[in-house]
Amino acid sequence: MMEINGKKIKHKLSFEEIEAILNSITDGVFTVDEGWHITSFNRAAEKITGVPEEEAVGSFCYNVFRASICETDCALRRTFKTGKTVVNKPVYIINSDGEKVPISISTALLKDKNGKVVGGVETFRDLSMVERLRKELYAKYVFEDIVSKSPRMQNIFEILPLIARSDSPVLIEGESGTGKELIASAIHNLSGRKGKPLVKINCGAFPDTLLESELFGYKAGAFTDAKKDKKGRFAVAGKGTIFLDEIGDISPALQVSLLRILQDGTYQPLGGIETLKSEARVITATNKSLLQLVNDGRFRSDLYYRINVFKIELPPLRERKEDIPLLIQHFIDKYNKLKGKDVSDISPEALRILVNYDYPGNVRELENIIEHSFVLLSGGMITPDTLPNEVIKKEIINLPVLPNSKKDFEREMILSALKNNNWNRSKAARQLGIHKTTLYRKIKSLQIKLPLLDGRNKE
Amino acid sequence: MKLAIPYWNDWISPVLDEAYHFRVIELREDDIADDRAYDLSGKSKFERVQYLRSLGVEMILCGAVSNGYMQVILLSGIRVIPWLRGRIDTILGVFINGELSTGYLMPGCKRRRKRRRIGKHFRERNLR
Repeated sequence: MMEINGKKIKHKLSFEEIEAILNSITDGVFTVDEGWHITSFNRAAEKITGVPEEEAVGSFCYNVFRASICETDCALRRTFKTGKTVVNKPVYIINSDGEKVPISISTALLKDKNGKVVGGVETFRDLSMVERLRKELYAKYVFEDIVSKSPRMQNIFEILPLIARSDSPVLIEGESGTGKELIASAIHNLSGRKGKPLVKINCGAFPDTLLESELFGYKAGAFTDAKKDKKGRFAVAGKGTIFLDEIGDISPALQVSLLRILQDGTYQPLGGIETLKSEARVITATNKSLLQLVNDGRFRSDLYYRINVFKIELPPLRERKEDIPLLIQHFIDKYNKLKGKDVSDISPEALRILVNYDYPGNVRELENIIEHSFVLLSGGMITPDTLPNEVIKKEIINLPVLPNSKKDFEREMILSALKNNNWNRSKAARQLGIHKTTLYRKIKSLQIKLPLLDGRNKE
Repeated sequence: MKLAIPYWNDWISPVLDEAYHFRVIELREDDIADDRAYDLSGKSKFERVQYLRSLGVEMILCGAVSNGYMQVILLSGIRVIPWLRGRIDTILGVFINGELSTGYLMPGCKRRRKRRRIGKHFRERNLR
């Protein structure tokens, strides 16, 4: 008996009707018996797998379905074992054209009218379109290898092509690991200097005298070991771009030389007498506040204003946390390709931990965290137990502390029960479902003060 | 020649991309000269191919394989007979006897293989 629009109709669906319903839905559906043989296979399943129904029915499900989890973590097997359904688990299958098709699967048990398990049913949804849309959306947030959807970074993406087209010096400020070098590369690639050298040098990595010879080169005989002439980085950069990282660390003497090159484009190699010309565009970066260094008298103000024609301030990752899921997916894709692994996603719990983390090392640190997980995984999902200890430890420390919250809760419950029962302790204990001696003990340990007039003592 | 077959219990693994256990069999004049099992758990897809190559494997008999992974394997110099199903010893037996036919292919893959006796032809043409 079934009810349609309030009318009771005696009707039992025929096999043909059930088949027509199954074939009309867009999700793939197949059923298996207890021996893992396919017993039915709908039209959508044929389309997604590329296997005709007549070939699928009677075959072992894993030879037809060919999912990434068939061998290691079959969802139906788990449902058979536990009786619990699996809902929308993301996996991939290999269709009969050899293409990987992303799908989500759900499982359930098939039972006869006596409740005996006679098989299982698996439904699956083709996620190719979702995946394509995700990639298209993702492409909108990628700018020259930089991934971000935060408004601050999107503003930078907008002005970057304009900055790139000019030949003016650019100063990039941002904490360590925020992507200063990527921005410098993007400026170079978007400029007319693309195709010419992009020379990068970390000024903080060289002692002062060595840095000078690295930047400007030297002539034979300039110092003891200078057997022959050596080109400096400015000469190597030619008409390209030179990127000077950690510019805040250079000495006052070198600041003068740099000022000169920025002012009239000339410099002298160490030990040389001739003046050379440089046509390289200068991009500088620092993880310190240069203005602060100027105010402290540790950085020349004239050099500061020379290099600071355009300033790009990169926000730290903790100020653009909306980018964390996007960056995680970016690094998962990157390391899947690099290491030939099939890590599909990150679990909601692991994602929550990573979003709550404050990233002193910024995007670089996030990348290292994902790489760490990849060492421990060959497939599946990034879970909290694959994250580095320091991230988990921080998570534990960051948990909200609720001192005495259990005690406060108990005190409130007991007080409320006592008040409801006119301070009669036996009745209150009954209401709370505990023995009255337990209640006495709790009253004592929680130091609950009772009124002189209570249920026992009315006078 | 040495061939590798990814296995799962007594059967050919359904998906080579996700297979970590391999039987590596050395054939000498159609006889099995050596037969060893390898557990490559923890190795990435590329590392598994490299490892099999280092063992001297020249051919893989397997189930489903993605086009991308197939390219990687072929580039490493290993030949592949994919889309096979069945008990590993049965497949090995029919391969040695040159009786590997479309009947041993996974459902939906018969259109991919027009030849009826793929094993014999393949071996005669490629393994001389």
